[in-house]
Amino acid sequence: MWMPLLGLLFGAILGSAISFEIPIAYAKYMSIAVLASLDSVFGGIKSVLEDRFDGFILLTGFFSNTLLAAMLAYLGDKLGVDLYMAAVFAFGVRLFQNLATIRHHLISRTLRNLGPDKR
Amino acid sequence: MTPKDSWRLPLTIVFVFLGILLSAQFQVQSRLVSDLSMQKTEDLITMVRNLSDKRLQLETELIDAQSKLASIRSSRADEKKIAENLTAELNKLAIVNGTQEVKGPGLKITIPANSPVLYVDIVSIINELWAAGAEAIAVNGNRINLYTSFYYAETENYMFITLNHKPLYFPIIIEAIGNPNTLEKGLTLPGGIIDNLILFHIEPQLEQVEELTLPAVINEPFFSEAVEVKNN
Amino acid sequence: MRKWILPITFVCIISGLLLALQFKIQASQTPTPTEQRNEILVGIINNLENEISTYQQRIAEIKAEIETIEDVTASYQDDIKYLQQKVQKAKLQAGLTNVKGRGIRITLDDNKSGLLLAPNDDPNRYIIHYENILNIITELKLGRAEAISVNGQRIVSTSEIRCVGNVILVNTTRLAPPFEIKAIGDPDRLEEILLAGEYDLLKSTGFPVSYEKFTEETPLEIPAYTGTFQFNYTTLN
Repeated sequence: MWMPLLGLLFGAILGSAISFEIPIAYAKYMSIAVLASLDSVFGGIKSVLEDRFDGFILLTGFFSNTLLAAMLAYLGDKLGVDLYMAAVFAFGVRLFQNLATIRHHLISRTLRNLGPDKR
Repeated sequence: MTPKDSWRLPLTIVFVFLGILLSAQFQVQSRLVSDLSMQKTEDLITMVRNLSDKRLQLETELIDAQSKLASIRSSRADEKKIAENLTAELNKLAIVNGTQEVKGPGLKITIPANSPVLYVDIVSIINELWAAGAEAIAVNGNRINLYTSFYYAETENYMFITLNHKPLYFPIIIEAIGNPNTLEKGLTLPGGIIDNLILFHIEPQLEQVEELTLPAVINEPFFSEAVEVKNN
Repeated sequence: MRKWILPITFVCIISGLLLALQFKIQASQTPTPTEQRNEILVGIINNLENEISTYQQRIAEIKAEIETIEDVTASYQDDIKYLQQKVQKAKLQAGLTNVKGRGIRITLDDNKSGLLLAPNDDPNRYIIHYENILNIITELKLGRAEAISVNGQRIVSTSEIRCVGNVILVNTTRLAPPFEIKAIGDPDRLEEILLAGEYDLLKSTGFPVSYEKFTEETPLEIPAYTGTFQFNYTTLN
């Protein structure tokens, strides 16, 4: 698990080195994009633990979700509908569900590794 | 279906981008919080009030600074004027006291050797030169000022004129700066000094010169008795 | 399968219309009063901040200039003090200040009584001539007189003594007998020189002359030169 974490660190350092000149007005679209990308990431982690990992789905899902979420929020603003809210709700719920599943898998793995005699 | 073990690479790539995104989001958010358009109206109003006060304060400060600058500029100009005036006065007094070398047009009087001239004659010639408008005088290269004294001294077979107790050798050359014509006329008045000297077989030669250079006095006067009286 | 095309198309058209309408409404929405007010306030704040920074810059510039001038002025004041001292010293040398000290005062007058006794004699032999005064002054200078005056006229380097008719002029000022010549210096040395020269000559030919020595306790006062100096031909080298 260390390599992905290292990748995270690398990305964070890279990101803080570059100064992003994003206008304040687009700040909330950034937020929703981040939320969407987090959702993709945790979905990926969950599928790793369920042995159902598909790298292709993860990569395409990550980029498309992120972009789509931002675009949807922008569209919503133009239409005067807080689609932003819907996206927050949707991604938030999925995020919590994925986190719960991950926790469940981690606990059962740990229990399994401790040996059958513990049962 | 990709094999299980190959989850590391895609996950890592995704994590890298996530890291970048999170950094970017963090940057935007921290800018957002302090951005003016996100503040509450009452906070904005307080800010306006504070800034207004500060601007008023700076306005007064600027006016004070400007007036101080103006007054300091004018007093500097005054002082410059004072310094210039003092320097001009000093230069004038230098000519009066003979403390600096001077030059200008004037008259040159040569008294040839073996003239039966006495020290009082030299004093008379100099007195006449002052009366005729001379501005600076030197005798044999010695500048004449207020304290120059003429006398005579004798050896066994010889009498000579002294200037400041130093012997004056022939030919005696008197140089005076001033209007050359006026100076010459002043000396050659009928019945004037030259006429008188001629009566005694002294025949000075007069020559108008375009530029004379007179040296400064050698010793500055030393006051041991006179003390300035300050009245005011 | 083609049954679905018509309802779908219809729905799409309506949706399209709604979308377009909604877009237009949103675009033409004026901001809420709060947003407007905030926008105005933000504008004011930005203006104030600009003005403040301009003021601060101006003030800094002026302060820097004041500092440079103050440095220069300080040195000017030193210069001026120095110059004033030098001028004062030069004035003392030139005879432009009142002075006092030990010295001698000589009084010369025409020999009126002598003339009365010999009315047919040449009157010129009974009056003080400018040469008498000139010679006494020469002798006083020899005796290291530090200041000399004749009837209140200070003798300076350019002073001349001459006569026009029967009138004696010193510093182009008419003087009449009796003539009072004051000199500051060592009274004894001055006396010595005096008695060996013109004064003695005048006395021996009957002129009413006298002199008086002045000591530290009762010093002699000699006034400053009140004329001007004109230098039209002389320049410093």
